Amino acid sequence: MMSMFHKWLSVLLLLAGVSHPTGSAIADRAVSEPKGMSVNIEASSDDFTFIDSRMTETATAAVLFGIIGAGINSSINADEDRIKAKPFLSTANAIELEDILKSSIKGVLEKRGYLFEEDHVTNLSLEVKSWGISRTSFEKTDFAPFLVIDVELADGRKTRWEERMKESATDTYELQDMTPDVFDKEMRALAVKTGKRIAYEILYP
Amino acid sequence: MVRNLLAIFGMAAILGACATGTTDISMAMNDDIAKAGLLSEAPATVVAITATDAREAEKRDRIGDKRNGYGMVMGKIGTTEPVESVVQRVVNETFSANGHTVSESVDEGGLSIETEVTNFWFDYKTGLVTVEFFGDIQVLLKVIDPATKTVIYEEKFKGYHSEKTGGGLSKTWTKVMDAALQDLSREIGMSMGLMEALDSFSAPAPEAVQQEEPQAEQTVS
Repeated sequence: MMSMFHKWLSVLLLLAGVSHPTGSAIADRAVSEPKGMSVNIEASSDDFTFIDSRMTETATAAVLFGIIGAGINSSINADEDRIKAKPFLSTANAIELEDILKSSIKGVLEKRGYLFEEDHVTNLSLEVKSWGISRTSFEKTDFAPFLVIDVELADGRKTRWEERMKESATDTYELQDMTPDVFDKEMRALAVKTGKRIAYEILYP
Repeated sequence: MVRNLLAIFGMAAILGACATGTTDISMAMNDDIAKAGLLSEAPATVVAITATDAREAEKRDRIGDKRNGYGMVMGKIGTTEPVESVVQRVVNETFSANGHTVSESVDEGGLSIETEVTNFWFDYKTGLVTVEFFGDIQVLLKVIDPATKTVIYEEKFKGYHSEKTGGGLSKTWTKVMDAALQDLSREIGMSMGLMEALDSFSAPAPEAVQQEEPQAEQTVS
């Protein structure tokens, strides 16, 4: 399911060695000894994004106008999405993802006897790669908050668990119903749920 | 002239780069789709699991669309077994992996688990150099006491997975949907509310306070 143009470019990408953590977890990531841990989270409102036009992008421009046309088309779609993101920016800036995630993770693990310390040898590191609002399919104009996080649990230098988690809220909304208040509520709920999920993944590897 | 027209149509078909018709995929064939989670902390319960396809009627014939490079729908992505059957199998395996017994039917000592599949969709987003594939599965799971026919717990669960690659065909689609099913299984297995519902159902009823005439009273703690 791709154009010849995409095939050719994807081969180039592979040769260039583009890579990122895969979606599969490394086995044997149990924390064998209870139960100290440090948590480091990187999250920024700069990574907030709105995806609508980019969801419905096709290869038409590439076929008709080549790689330059495709590039221009992608830029136009990205710009359209940036404009649609503006009404949500102030709300997004007020959402402290780092605090919500940390609180949610600690809330579960502390009840299970985990003690959180700075610079513990067992370290849980989260990096929020992107987050925001995304259209949920090509054909339907429903939107939901999403969150992409790189998770790494390490004992010293030994990586116990490494995964790129991609979470999407369950409830979806038409664009006119996705107000900043609705986004705020759903995004916070998604962050809490994701934090709990990470905690349970640690408890049940 | 005709040959030229045929050549042009042929080129257009190649550039469209998408087969027509229906491609059926087989999902949830791996043994490791479910594993133990929070649900294993509830006492072992006998459960009878059923699933129904509650998606919009016009979508029940497929789980995704095959679109050509111009975004036109050219065909369908279907399944080798009904969607509700796939989901039921995954929910069965989730409860089994968490130490519960899955049975065809239950009496008063067990619970009925009804699963309504409200969304089961495969989609993709074409980027400049990559394609991002999405699997999105949503179910409404109800826990019912067969003795009283009351719903003692219900929750919406979502299994979601996305993957960005240079492109992919049915093997990639299967992989993405399997990952979404696995995510659904984990969400169900990690549900605190579901675990507590099973725990409450299994908890012994408190003993009644007994009074002996004429004067002695026993309070059972």
